[in-house]
Amino acid sequence: MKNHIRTSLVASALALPVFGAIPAHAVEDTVYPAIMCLEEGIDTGAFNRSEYRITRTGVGNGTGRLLCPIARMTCGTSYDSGFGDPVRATGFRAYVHTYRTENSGDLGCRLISKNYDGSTIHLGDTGFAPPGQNEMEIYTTSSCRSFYILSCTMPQNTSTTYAKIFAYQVRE
Amino acid sequence: MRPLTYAGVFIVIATTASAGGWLLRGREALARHDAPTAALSAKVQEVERELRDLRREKELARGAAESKVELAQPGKTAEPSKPEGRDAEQMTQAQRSELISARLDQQFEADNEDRSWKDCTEREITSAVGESLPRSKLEDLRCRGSICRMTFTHQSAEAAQEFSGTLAHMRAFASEVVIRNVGTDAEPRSIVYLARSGHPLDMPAD
Repeated sequence: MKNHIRTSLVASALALPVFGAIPAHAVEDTVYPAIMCLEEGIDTGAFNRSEYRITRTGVGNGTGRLLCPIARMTCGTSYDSGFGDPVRATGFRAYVHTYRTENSGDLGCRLISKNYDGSTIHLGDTGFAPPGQNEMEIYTTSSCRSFYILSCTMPQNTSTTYAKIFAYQVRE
Repeated sequence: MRPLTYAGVFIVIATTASAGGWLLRGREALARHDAPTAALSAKVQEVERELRDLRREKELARGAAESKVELAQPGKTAEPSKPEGRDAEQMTQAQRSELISARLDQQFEADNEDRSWKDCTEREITSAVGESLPRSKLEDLRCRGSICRMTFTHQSAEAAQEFSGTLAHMRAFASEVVIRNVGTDAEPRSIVYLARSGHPLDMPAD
């Protein structure tokens, strides 16, 4: 019996490094509170911030758009295949923790990367928050020579409908 | 008999694990190499060759400038100043933008036409732009089967900035997009590439 256990342990230990290659892991997984987001353009006071969320009230005009900063933490060696050779990250993912009621209007977000001189702008696919759900996932290609922004457009709250963003999470 | 059974079990586990690992590695390698290798055409190679030449010229020029300084001040070692570094960074940005354009133009030219998607998308874009971007003018619009290329002129630099912000949230531009700001502050222009949903743009690796 002892021999059986010992042999199984040795076999598992030898097999683990190889099986360990399967789950590639992100090196950065940063969560930002939504109050870090700012109104795009000149602040019209259309957004209301509290310690747990940002939402668009009926006050003020503006574009209804938010710009949320993303600190680019890494570039080039985000994933490890498990064989010791770094694999270049091809993209990054953001999860927007949000909630909107039925008929509140579109709450859409997209990831934007810009060259440092602003000459080239890359926009990932737009994600739209489904009503009644609390997370929206968006993805775009990564770039080593760009800075990143999350941009969201929010519907205006009414007496019966509303939309909020609580936080956003970035996985590089 | 038992040790032989254990040895057999161990060999089976190790073989399966190694095979799985190598299969995964092979799949990753294929995914990494397939698309870029197939997509590189003469045009992209030409741009990349030009970039290499520019970098070489820049290095030669820097070397010559440093030699000059050393000749003028034999006791001092020349160090690149900060503005030079920034200029170099700007140059790299410009080169990268050129490369992106070249690759996307190539993708556009090689794209097979899908008449129904093309007509529908061109109508949608023309209508959306006319309503939402009053200070920008759509000068040229061409779609194929999975990519559109368009050129805009803007009334001012401020209008060009507004254009980027507004376009990012228009339904007609909800899939992957690249905007290149070209022209000058006095006469700003933008070239926009729009991918059909589910069809990625051929962006170069950094």
